[in-house]
Amino acid sequence: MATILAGPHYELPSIELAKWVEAQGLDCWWNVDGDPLLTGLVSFPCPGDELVTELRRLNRPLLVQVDKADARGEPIDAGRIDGVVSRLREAFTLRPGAPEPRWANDRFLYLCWKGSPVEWMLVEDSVATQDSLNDYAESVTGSDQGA
Amino acid sequence: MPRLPIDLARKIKDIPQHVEQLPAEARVPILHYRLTSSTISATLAYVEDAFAQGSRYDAVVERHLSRLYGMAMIGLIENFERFLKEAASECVDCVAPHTLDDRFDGFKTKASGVAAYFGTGSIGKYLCEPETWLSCATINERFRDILSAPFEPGDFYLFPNPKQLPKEAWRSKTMSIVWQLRHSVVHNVGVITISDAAKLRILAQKEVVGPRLLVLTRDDIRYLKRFLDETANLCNSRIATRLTVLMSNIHTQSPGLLKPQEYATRLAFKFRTPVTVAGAVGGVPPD
Repeated sequence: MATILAGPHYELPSIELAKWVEAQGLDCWWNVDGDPLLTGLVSFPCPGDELVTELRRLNRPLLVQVDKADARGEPIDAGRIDGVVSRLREAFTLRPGAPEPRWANDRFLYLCWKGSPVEWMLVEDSVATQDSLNDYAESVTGSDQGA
Repeated sequence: MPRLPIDLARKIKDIPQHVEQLPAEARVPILHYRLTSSTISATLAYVEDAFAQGSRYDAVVERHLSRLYGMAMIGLIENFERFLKEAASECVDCVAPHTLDDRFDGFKTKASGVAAYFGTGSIGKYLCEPETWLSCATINERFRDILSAPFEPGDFYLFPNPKQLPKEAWRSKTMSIVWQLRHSVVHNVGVITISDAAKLRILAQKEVVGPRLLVLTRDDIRYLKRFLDETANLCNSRIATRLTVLMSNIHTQSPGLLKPQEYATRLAFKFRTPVTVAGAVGGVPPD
């Protein structure tokens, strides 16, 4: 099985990733698929502010898989993350002619903590973002809590 | 070609060999809980994405997804039950060496079960693991006993009723609905029987009809997960606070019986929250 370390990758400090996540808007929700460390700390999917807090607190390097053959682990900062994100439509085979699902444009990064063999995905979760907005709209209609 | 004979006895015996190491997070009940909860959620998200690509067979997709939501529901609830067991087990292991009263008499222990738990080195696992933790009344009773002051009846309720803590009573009622739904999915393969419906009607104070097949939605799972996540966090915090007070009291009543610093460090690690045991401070260790 190919590992991030063995292929083209950059080193990305978690505080730089936090900056980038923050810049996408703290109302944007995120999912982490496969990282025992972050999923032990945060209930995913989560809004950006919760993820940013943990990435800043952890403050350690990540490796990010990239599609650039000459990448050999050079450090990158938040400003270069837009250039290495993939879109979910690239991870799934969409049926030709069918309307694109609403998550098709969601961004993701394939990552591991430096020194860890566990590889995982950080995925923008536009569905959870919309769910959250819907929940907010519904919350003004009343509650059974305390009933 | 006809089906070839297979040594099914061996194949089934092989199943317990298909394992991997537990992650480091499994040593801390609330981290173990969150890890599994998020993993179930991520699995569903991945499958939903893979399914929802403009399939021409929407009815089939919906049916399979509903079945998966049922599995996810059970996974989430069992995960919560495991969290309660692990947290209770830690409480027992902390308290047992320093108390002589009847607080553990409510557990249905059997001598034949002791051997299997010898290797664990944990009286807490022996008492808590074999039991089911699937009703608020039972859970309240067990935690109340485990965390009672020495030789006193106990007044700690993890799921308080309206008289005990009015503002949190809704959680106990909601949790009871969750346990009942689990019963329907696990024991009746997703069918709300007439008797299930009668219980759910009383618990939910809404019309519930049986027999009916439960057809879960994505939102059902999303709300269930959030409810259980928030409840697990709250329980973790309340158990840690109560256990800290208890260990401090034991030290005050019998100085020298335990080392406060040792327990402060242990509780901060196990419950992932800063604690103070009889003046000794335990901080959350770095991840």
